[in-house]
Amino acid sequence: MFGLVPMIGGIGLFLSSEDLLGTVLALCMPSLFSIPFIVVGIVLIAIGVRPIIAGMRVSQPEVSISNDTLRVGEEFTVIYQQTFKSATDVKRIAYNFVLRETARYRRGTDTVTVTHENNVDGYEHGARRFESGEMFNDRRTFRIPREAMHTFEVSNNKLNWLLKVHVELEGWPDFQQEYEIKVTPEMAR
Amino acid sequence: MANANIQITLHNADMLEGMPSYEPGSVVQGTVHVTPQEDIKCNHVWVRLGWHTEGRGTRDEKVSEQIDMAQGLLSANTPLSRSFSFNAPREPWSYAGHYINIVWEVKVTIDIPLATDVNQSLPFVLAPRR
Repeated sequence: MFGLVPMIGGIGLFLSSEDLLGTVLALCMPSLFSIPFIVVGIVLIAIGVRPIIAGMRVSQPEVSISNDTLRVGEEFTVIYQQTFKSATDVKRIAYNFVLRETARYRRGTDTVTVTHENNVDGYEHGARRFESGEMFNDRRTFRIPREAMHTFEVSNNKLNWLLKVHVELEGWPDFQQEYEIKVTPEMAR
Repeated sequence: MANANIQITLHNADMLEGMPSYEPGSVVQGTVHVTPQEDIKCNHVWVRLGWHTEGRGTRDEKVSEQIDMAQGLLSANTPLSRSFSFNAPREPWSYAGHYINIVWEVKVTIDIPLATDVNQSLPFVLAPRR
């Protein structure tokens, strides 16, 4: 880095001021042109690296569901475990049990997919600090409402039951995961 | 366009919010009366039990069972009757949502060659007792 200054100065001694301007421009113009690409590349690398860095701070959560094939009206239990590798401030941990409608249709030459989520149930843990090595354990019970619909999947229309887990970490990328629960067209006794 | 008066009557149905309703797996029974207003030369007169989706998505549909009620010439003002008995499948249940509706129906189609078919349908609810 410090070697660049005398080097440019040395080159300047052998060139006239016009030649020097031309040389500097010739050296700088490709750099100016490539700056946006370099910036975009750095941003993309940063986006790609952030979850890895977040993963160094918080382990991947272990989520186990008592039964992922259920009848309408039946309940299930979710066990959530996550270890914090270093001290971390968590803004919130939220579970949402949703019925998602997915509809696909053609518009001109495009295929458009729209979704709508009916939030059926949810729990939320507020902000708290986890110390290094601390484990978060949680157990929740959800129920498929008795008046609800079963899972339905055909070519263009889908109804899916999902348990969504959303962990917001202070200053780090959020952790979001979905777990599908298959609901059969039967009523629980 | 051919013209015919089609009446569909469902028997043994419960009523749910003004709609005939059946439990999944039950028997859907009824009668169809077709009275052509003119002579109609048709391929078939179908009585079908099936579902289709309505809403934002491209329509999905499935015929669960069908009966070929008549073929050939339907004479003007000559009523045609047929009772039917279909086994309703266990799924999908009827559904009314934000982007998707699932509608069950008994549908009568007069299939006319090289012309617009004549259709009449009677929707019903297929859902379990809650």
